[in-house]
Amino acid sequence: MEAIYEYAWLIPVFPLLGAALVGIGLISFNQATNRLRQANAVLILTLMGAAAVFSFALLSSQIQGHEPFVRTFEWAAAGDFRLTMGYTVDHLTTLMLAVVTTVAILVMIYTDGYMAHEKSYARFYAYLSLFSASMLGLVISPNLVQVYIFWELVGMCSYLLIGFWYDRKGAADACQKAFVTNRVGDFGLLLGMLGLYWATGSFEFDIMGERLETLVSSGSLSAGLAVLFAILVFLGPVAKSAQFPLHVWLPDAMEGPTPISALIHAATMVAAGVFLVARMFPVFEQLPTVMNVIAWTGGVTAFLGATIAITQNDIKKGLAYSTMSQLGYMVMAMGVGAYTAGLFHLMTHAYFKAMLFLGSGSVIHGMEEVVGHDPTLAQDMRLMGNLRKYMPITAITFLIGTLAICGIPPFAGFWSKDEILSLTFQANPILWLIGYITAGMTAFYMFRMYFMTFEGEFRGKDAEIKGVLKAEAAGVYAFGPGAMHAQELGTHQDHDDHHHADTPHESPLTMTFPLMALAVPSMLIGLLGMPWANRFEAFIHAPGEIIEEAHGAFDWGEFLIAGGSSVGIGLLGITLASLMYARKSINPAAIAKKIEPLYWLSRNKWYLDDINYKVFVQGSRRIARQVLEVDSKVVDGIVNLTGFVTLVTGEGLKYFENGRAQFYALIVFGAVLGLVVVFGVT
Amino acid sequence: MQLQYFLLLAAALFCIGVYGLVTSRNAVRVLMSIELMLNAVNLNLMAFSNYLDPAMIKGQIFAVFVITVAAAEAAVGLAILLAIYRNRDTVDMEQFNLLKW
Amino acid sequence: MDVANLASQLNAGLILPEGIVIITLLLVLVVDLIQGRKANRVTPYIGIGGLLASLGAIAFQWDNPVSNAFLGSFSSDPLSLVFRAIIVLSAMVTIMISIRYVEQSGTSLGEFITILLTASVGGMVLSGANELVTIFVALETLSISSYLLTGYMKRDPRSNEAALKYLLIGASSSALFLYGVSLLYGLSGGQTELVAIATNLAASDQSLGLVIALVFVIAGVAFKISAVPFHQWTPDVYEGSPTPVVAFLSVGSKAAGFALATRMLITVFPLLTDEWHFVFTALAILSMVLGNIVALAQTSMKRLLAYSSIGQAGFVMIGLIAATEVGYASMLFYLFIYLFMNLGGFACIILFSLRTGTDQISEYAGLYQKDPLITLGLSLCLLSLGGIPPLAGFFGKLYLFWAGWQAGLYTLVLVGLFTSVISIYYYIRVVKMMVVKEPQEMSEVVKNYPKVTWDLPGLKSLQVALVLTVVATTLIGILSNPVFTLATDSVNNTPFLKLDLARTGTQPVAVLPEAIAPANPL
Repeated sequence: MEAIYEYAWLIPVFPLLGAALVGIGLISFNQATNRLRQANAVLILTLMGAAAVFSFALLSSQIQGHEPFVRTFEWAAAGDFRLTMGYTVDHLTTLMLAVVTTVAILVMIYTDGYMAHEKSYARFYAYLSLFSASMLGLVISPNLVQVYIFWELVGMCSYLLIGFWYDRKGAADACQKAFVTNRVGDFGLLLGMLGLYWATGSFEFDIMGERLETLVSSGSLSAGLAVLFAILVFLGPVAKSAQFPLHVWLPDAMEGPTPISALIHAATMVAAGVFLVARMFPVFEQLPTVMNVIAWTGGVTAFLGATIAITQNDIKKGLAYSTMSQLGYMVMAMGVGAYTAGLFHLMTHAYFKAMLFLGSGSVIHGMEEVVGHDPTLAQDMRLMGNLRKYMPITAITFLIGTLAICGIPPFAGFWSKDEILSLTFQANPILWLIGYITAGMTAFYMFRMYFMTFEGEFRGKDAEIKGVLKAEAAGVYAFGPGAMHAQELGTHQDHDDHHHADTPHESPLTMTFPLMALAVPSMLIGLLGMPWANRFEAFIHAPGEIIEEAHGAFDWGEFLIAGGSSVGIGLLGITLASLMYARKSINPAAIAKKIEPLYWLSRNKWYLDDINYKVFVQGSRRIARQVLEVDSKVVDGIVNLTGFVTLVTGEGLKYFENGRAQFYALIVFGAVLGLVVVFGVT
Repeated sequence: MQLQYFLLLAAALFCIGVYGLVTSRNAVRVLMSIELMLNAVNLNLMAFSNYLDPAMIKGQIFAVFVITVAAAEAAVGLAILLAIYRNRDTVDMEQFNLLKW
Repeated sequence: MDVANLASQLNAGLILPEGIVIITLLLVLVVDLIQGRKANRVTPYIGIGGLLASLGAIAFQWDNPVSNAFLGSFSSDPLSLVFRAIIVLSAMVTIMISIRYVEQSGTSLGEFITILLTASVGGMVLSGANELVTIFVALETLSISSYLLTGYMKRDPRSNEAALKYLLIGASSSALFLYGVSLLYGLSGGQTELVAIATNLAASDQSLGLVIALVFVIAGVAFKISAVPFHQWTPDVYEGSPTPVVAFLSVGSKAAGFALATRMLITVFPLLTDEWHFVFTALAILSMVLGNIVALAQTSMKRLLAYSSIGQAGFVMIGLIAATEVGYASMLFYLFIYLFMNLGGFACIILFSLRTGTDQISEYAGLYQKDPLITLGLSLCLLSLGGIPPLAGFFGKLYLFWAGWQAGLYTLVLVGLFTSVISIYYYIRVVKMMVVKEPQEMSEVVKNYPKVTWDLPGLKSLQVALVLTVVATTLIGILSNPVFTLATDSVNNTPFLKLDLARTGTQPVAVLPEAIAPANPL
């Protein structure tokens, strides 16, 4: 058994190798490699498969109660300064490994179908593999420095992949936005990390926690400072897991190809934030203020995401906001101390959200055959409808995912969400209320999505709606910070003319297979965490926490009330959605009219992008313009002056080098004399 | 005679060497100034050797080494000077400023 | 004392590495004499082989407990072994990168290698010399050979001028050094061995004469490591000399200077520790500031590297001033990686000037499109010099600054950090020039760039040297720890450093002289 631990470092190395091989192939023999197409995919999939087998072997070994394994080596050491690198295999790691590798494999299979006609097919696989390697590396990191390195790497892969279609303006803008937003978070993380190192002298999670506790309790480190460092560290997860207020990049990131949205922006990378909070739990746990901040950030994000998702018409954007909202749940769970519940939700969410995204990709793939390769049309739900008839597998799997996310038992989401809610209720009833309402809204918007897409009539050929959409797209985007103008969008319309079919049809097996495969965990994996027999909790629990063997005294009454109420609100949302979008007995437009301000608030994403744009972009521009005078003379001046003075000093000083050897000798003697005088005087 | 006088003489000689090195325009004179400085050191060594270390006379041996090395240095210096004279037709220190700034 | 007994006490085996180099240089000379022009194909490889053998001998001595040879005149402790290894390696790489350069200039290759090997012998003996006469002779062997190398292109007036300047400044600093040494001889009452001098000096009371001796000795050392204000020869000599020679001067000769500084100052002047630390702090700050700032204004690649090497010397001095185990180890580590990154840079510059005949920075514009290998190599080496992670230079600076910070040298470390930011600017400027330029912005020279071939004699070895140094620069960055452990071990196993560390203990350096002086009989 030890052998697999000895070689656990191979897990991230396998996909890295795949990425490197294909990458080298692309650089040196571009055309040949591109021509090989599926051979690349097979190579990368094989390596990923090997990593997955490895991961599951480790997982089963850990489940059987093997000791956690840490292997480190010194990377750099000077005196008492030690920087260790290595890998750690414990319960949390193996869980994440299993989730990441399964989702990655399925997404890779799916990609073959989805990107079949893409000319950069091989490049895409290389990126995917590189991302998987970084993500797996992140998961096995034993300390904060290594986490930070891989954190930046997954971030970099994410930018590469969001901007995969770099010739699309939207993609390029989104990529930039993701980059800038994440910089804010990463900078916080870096500062917090260095601060914690300064305070505790360690980058190891548990040592950090212990020492911080001693320092704060002995009063040698002020609690305020400790809180500040912890919150700075938390800024990293805020950006990466798209928490309010740094969430703005995630919906825009949907400009990337759909497999990316499924793998990176739903299942794995965005969950890295939650993962880091889990890893840093020993530190955060001791600072109640920080825990509160985390919980409230999560709660606000969950609510915000749900309210915005209600009115989204773009299927991927809707899912993106839903992801944000679910991540909010996880963070909230972490904040109220529900470590297990948060990670449980992370796992279930990874599976069903990946499936939902892949399903949406399948839908888009189908729609593109009807409306052409224009994201404003192919992704808009108002043009869809009755797709169940044309794409049955996609529809069923999507429905399973929807049921899972809505928290209908026995699907996966129910168990994890219910656990979060009941634990939140014990900790903070206000947060519970927010979470509870959010759960209702989740059910509503997810079923709205389902009904609009798969039920009713197919509206794909409706030219009128198309016209509306195009006009709207031009208008809506003009608001956005991406400042996409109608003219720019127009460039895509040239491709619209060659419609292949009047009706969409089911996607190829490579795309439907992953959907079906993901449907299984979406349905069943929740059963691991049934409150009365919580096998998940037995496996994953907060470090230091002892699981009491009191499962026998399970309180059925409490469970039924909590579970029943959350199912109740879920059903309420579903009913509402079906009345509005399936039966059409309530006209959503009429409601929207009645509460128009609210409708537009949601529709325009709480105007956060606009506020962002107005306050930060335009505001800074205006301020910049106003203080341009001052700026150019003072701020710029000082900056330039420093550079200028340095340069001028350089220019000036170099003339001391006048080329005369005797002058040089004079300086030497002068310096010697000067030193003697200095010492003679003192 | 006291040790101080020798040391003073050596110091004076060294300073003259420094002065000559800094002010001479003729490169050969500059080389000679360097010899002067080294000879000042020799004087120092001999004096110390005579007064403080008459048994082992390490200073005298040191002086022999210094003389030898000084000869080598002078030889190399003159060789370089010869090469530069061939190329530039001058030994004027003021002229040697191709390399600057 | 009979002869056999004396011979057994000499431990002459400890200078085996030097002996091998001397035999090699004689061999090169003889082969060159016999074979004439034809020998060019053999001599460099004899030289490289000899140096490799010498390196092997050094490695073989690593665990040798006997460290004193020639009745204490020479010590072959681990510290000197590391310095000697650095010098041998730098000489080896220099030969590899010089073959084509010297042949193309039409001068004799055999003589060049002979002089270079002589210089290395000088540097090697200097690293271990423990006695004033030995130190002086070794120093002059290194210096005089360097003057000759500098003026090796005897038909080039710039090379002549560089040699003359180097000789004048070098001779005056060695005269200063020698004057200081003669004072030491006198003040110690007729001792020439460093340890004996220190013992005798401690017995006598501290006087102005000792301070003068210290300052004069520092002048000689500072000239070798080109610390400001004893640096002014550096840019001129670097610009005028043949480029391979510059490569050797900037690494081998500088390492020898640091070896001398470490051994002599620590052994002889424990009484004046604060004084010499003060002087070196001043020199280090001046070097870092001036070296890096003036480098900004340079247009020639060789001059740029000259100023950069002045700045780098300033960084290395931090380790020496820190005077802790980590400090000395980080100094060794930095010199070791400096060997690779600087020589790698010079290999690229030599290759570029062989193909184009120029050293101007502006002529590098757009090189990326024509010669990716040079671009990649030079970029990596320059970025490493600038301290960009994860290259070796970053870790070197990290260790140095860390050691400095631990030792309480806050000013030095802050100046170091600030000036390394400046240095990144001018290193990146070159990289940007090569990489970012559009095809139409390409310099004329690059537009007419010859087709890249490696067929000419001597280019292969240049290519090998380039690749090796660049790989080492990158790899040591990632795997810095074993090398650093080696450096720490050598510091820990070196008797005189151990003594010094025991003496200062864990005390911070900035203690008043009165606090230390009376408490230390040594």
